[in-house]
Amino acid sequence: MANVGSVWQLQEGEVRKPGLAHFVMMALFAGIGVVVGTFGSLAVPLGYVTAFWPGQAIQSVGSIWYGAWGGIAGFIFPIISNMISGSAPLPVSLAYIPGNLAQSIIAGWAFRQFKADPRLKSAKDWIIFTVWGIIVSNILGAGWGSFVLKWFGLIAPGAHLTVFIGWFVGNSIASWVLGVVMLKFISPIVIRTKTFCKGYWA
Amino acid sequence: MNAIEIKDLIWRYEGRETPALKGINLEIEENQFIGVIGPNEAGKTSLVAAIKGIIPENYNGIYKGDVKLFGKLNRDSSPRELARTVGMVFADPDAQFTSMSVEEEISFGLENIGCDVEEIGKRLEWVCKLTNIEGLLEKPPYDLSGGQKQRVAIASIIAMKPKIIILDEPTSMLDPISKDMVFDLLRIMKEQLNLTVIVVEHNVEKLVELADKLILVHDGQIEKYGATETFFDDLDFISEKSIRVPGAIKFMHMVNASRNKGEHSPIQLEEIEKTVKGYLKGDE
Amino acid sequence: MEQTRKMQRTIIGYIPAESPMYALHPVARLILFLATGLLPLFIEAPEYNVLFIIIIFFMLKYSHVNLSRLKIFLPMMITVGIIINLTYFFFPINTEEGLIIFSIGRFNAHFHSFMWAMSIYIRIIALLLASIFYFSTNRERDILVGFRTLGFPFIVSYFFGLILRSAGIFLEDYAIIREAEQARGLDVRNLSFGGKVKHFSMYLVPLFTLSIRKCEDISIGLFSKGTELSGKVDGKKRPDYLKHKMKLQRTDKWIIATIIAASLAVVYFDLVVDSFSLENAWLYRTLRHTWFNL
Repeated sequence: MANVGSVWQLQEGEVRKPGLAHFVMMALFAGIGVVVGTFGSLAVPLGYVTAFWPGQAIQSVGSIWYGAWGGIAGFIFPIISNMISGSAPLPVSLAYIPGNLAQSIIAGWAFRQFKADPRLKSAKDWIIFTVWGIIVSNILGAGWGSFVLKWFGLIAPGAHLTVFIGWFVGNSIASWVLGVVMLKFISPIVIRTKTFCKGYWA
Repeated sequence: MNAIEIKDLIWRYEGRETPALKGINLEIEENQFIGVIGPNEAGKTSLVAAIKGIIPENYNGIYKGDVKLFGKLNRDSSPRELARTVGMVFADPDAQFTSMSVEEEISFGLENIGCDVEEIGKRLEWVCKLTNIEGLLEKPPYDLSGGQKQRVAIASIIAMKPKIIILDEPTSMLDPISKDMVFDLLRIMKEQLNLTVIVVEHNVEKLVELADKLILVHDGQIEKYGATETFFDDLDFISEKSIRVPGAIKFMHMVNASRNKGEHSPIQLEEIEKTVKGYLKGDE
Repeated sequence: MEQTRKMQRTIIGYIPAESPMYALHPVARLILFLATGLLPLFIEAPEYNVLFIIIIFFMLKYSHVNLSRLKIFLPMMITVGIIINLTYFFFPINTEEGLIIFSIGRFNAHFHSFMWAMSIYIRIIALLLASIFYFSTNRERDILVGFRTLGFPFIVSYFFGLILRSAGIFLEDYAIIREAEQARGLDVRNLSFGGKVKHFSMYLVPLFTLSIRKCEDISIGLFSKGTELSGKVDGKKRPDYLKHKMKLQRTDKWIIATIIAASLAVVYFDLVVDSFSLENAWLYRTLRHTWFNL
């Protein structure tokens, strides 16, 4: 039986190289993000205030499974899904990039750093996902996002804290639910594939 | 000259206990039309994937032996060099589309192998006429029917003018009319293009009409490789390997056996019809 | 009887089967999008952005876009308006003047705050409509040709194309799964919101499994067509047939030059002359005069 941490451990003689398949998976994952993000935005039409936006789960899980490839996909897909769903115009979407990038890499970094299992097998795995993949990621994402809204004048400066809290709580709940489903049910399949990244690029 | 030479090829997918290919040795001459038959999980797809170089490039596993295309080891060739030599059409037409329109899909492969834009234009025109897809150029792949998709997939490979074209169960996901269209295209490839064609196909009736030679793959090994006309002479052996022998061929064998005809029986429908009519008229 | 325009499906929506916009080179359309997608940011005066919105609607109509399809964006546009107005109502800005339009309990609707909210709202709608216009008049391949003509490397434009393609694949698979569920009698409309969320989450399991297989298929498809992501073939630049085929015409060049010149003029008048500030806006001054006689 695989012990915790072995998911990230290279087997003896195992060679993993980044290749075409990773590039394709990055695009496919971004495409999935576009659909999930667009549907999420249209289903809960709060516009640029992305509360209850399930796309954040795609971002966290993407970097856990696909390392840096998932991270890149995670900050690109919101730009496209925002334009398609009409939830944020291009300049606002571009300004969101640092927040989306943070949301897209923290979980992946934490899982590798603390050797957590993407299949959420132990309490430690759950805690790392919840703390890093949800709470820390969303604090940074919501913090940056609400700052962007204030910067563009889309919210009154006095509403900054309220919007931040609403954004953080709403997104955290949606991304936790979706993230847990994805990790618990799909990770066992993903970790057997060639595109699963034990390191950051392969 | 041999288009393909395979020597002692063994391939085992990662995580599997038994190899998919167990010591394959095979030589295929240039400009032959080869049919590959065999039951499911026999190793047919693995065999053609190894010829194309998809194995070992795209899968993890253990690979031993050599595959040479026109004398060159395929593991020493880049994807681009391989694409110039051998093209492959897959069973699922959706799986092979990588572009946003038919025109782009066909030109994509040509761009990859470095055709200049004028040549791409000429080849597009030629291949669209050949495969009868002229009206589809502007369409996105998801707007096409299954048969149209497969014709586009075949066109995109023919346009690259490789010396070898492999088609892996090209009709398995198509309706009967689309299947016929694909077989019509295969006939065009055989009659009009100077190519080595390898077709993996379950529809033996149709395949025998076109193939110069047949390969029977079973349990990771080549059980039989020979000229199509004599391939079914030992029907019991073929049937033992879980191949559904066409009724017309079985019938002809029975008729010939009852008439104590020692020589091999005809296998193509037209020939069978002619022979049976002859028998009915009293010819020997 | 009103003639129904024929529409063509794209991965990201619908576009007219025929449109005068298609006479323009994709890069001219892309530059138009970049300009219309940025210029409202320089404009605070609501009347100019309203004019901008009217122009976009005129362009949508002129381009044969089926306007009824814009209905899906309505909930978003309404809630965005509500959110902006609520935040500026409960957290007003520039209250020093004390110009109050109305009050609800202890909360006052301050004139400047209200006008600012309106200015921002109209601006955001203008920006959104610019996006909608672009995606309603461009096929995926037009977007890619636009990118390539602007000099984006092959790998970038191909990556973008593959994202759109995979979004399409994902949606096709999603539709198949939904049809299968409906065939078994499940009506998602009857589910509670929580049920819908749970249901949506559970869709992802088969969809991801399919995507993993598709990834393998597409990778093999790319490999078998000799794809190398370097953007070079035998040391030379990778040929680009579509870009070669879609050549920039003189009209396109004139249009691009006009868009750039107009954009620079807007930026100049905003940054140097301050023509588009809210305080200088005709509507702002008129309403201020009408309501407060100032």
